Amino acid sequence: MALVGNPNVGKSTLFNALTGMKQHVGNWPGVTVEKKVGVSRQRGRDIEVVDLPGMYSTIPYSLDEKVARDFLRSGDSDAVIHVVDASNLERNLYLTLQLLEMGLRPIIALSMVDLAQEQGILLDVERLSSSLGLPVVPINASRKEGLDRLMAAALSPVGPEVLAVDYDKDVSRDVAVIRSILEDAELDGNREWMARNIVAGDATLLDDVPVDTRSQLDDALSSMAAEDNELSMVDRRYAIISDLAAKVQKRPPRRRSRSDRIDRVVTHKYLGIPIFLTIMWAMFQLTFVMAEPFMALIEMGFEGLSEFVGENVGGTWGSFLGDGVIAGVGSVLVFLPNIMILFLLLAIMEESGYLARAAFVMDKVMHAIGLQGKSIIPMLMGFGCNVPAIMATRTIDDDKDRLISILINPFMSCSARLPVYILLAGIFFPGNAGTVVFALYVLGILVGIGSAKLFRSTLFKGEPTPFIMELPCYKTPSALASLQKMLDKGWVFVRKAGSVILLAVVILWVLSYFPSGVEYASKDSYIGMLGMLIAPLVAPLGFDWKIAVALIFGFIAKEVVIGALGTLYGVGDDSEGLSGQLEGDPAWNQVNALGLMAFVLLYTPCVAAIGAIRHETGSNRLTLFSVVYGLAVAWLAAFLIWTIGGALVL
Amino acid sequence: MAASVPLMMLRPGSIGRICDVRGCRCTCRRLSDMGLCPNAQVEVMEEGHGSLIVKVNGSRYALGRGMAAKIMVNEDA
Repeated sequence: MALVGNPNVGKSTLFNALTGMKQHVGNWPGVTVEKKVGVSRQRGRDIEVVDLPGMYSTIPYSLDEKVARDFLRSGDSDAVIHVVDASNLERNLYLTLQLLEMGLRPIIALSMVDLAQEQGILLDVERLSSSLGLPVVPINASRKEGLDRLMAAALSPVGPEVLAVDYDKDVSRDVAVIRSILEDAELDGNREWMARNIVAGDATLLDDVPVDTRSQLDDALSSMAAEDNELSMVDRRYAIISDLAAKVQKRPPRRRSRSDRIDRVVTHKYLGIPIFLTIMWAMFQLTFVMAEPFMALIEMGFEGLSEFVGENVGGTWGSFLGDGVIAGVGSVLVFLPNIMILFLLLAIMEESGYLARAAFVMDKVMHAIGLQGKSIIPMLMGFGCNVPAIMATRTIDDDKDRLISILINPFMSCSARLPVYILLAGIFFPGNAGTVVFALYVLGILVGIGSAKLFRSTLFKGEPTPFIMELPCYKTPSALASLQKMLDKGWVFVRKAGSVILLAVVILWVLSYFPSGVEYASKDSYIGMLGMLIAPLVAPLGFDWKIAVALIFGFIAKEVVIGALGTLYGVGDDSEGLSGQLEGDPAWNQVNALGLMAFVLLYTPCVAAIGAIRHETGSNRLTLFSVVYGLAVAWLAAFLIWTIGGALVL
Repeated sequence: MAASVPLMMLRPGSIGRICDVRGCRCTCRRLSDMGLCPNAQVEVMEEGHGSLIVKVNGSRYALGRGMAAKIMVNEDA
């Protein structure tokens, strides 16, 4: 069973209500579009439910929409539930008509009924159902109302008599021409629908037909008045819809809704940007303040653990557990609270509907740096994690805008870098740790802006394209959904600590402990030899060989920088912990600590981000460029800090 | 009938009827999919710096800089 509908109509809420906890998120084959599949238990039967990406039309505009459309076309779904927003019937029915033309017989799940009532919209559900020829079931997914009726309707067959869309004679003639060409071709699917969509301007379908058919189609299309056809088809559909809407719905005279009143302030011409900056600042503060007590708890836990190991396990195993595993993984896990809170706040911002407003508010600013308003969304998501943020650039339609957005995203300081800042700023700038960390975020944003301008004037010349984006109604974020997201991300972080980071610190420990007999993590150990080899590269930045090693391992994931330092300093059985060790080491001072933080901020986030960049740009050259550019900028920034700072302070 | 003007000329609170969308086919099609097709009634809600928030059939859209210049409307009295 598939769930389909416009974006922001409550599709995901329905999906969650139907499947509960029995769901998993994967990828559609071959593309990184998220595929959400769950199982719903109905009357003793397990039903697989697929939540399709939101779509406005069966002529896809983005990759997400193409995935959704192609799934519907494939016929892999026994039933289709079409979620329709009752407060916005006309636009939703536009998709309904297109689904009917596709030959689908969807069950209509009418959502946002309470919102429509609040706006004074009266709907005649019976009449809507009989006019369309489809079952219509009003639902309230968050209160789980109407779900039984919906599923009952989904499991029974739909009558054959449905609303048909008829076009004028010019369009019908052209559709018939295309159809006759398709008739002779070897292909799967509904030819009538394909012919209609091709006439309506769907170029994606042309790629699915055999080459000789394709050339016949191209010839036929070139003799048709393509734009007139398209306009006339859109007109016809909207005409049918407005007739239908007039019969089934009564709209009160316009009045300002709650969302309109909020927008009045939040998206105000002059107040909008200060409000946006205040929200950002508050988010940043909360991430630190709320996390503190939890961090102290986790720290205590690991201290107790390493004391226990220090007293009870000796020799090589003691060193392995204490210096390696606990020191490495423990140093990283301490930051779990920060990361969970940051993701919780991002989720709340997205759920509430504010994130979309940020695109509007920041449009002018983004324009000034050569991007469009929509680009702000992946940038903000980058503060959480660059990987989903880079994927989120997919909603940007223009290729150049999108590529620039991808390339600057690594400079948005993701949550994995936070542990490095908190640790180092805490040790070396005890009174001003907050300011230093904030300055780093700003530095990342500035480098991103500078790079965007640079790329726009060299690699991707041209103007940013104007955008259009739906602004959903504001709603109180669902505590459950936000907490769920937070726990998901927290769990990802814990798994990362238990897998990649653990593996990295184990390798580090082995390289530090052997050849047997050498002093742990000294210059004579394997890791010391490696470090000495690369140390000259980072010597101009004021970094010693241990930092060099930590940075190399930081390619795996940025938290590993901390884990690696923990292991290299073997802090597991040391009561002072990593902070104490670093503070006492003469190789460290305020200036190179700041330089290191800047370096960690600016160089390639992690292998996963490199993978995402490769996948989204589809280009090895751009991916390599991104890595080299990041390293160069990072090196330069740390070099400047060391040279200038060294002259001023040391 | 009054002469058509770009949507961006309308002040917040005013209502217009779309008469033409200038731009590439792709953009026009997307706008129609979202309900911004000729004859649709648009209400301007908020204005930014060259950008607009409009309401069409009960849904709210943010139109980025430049987009509002491409949509031609007749202002309703």
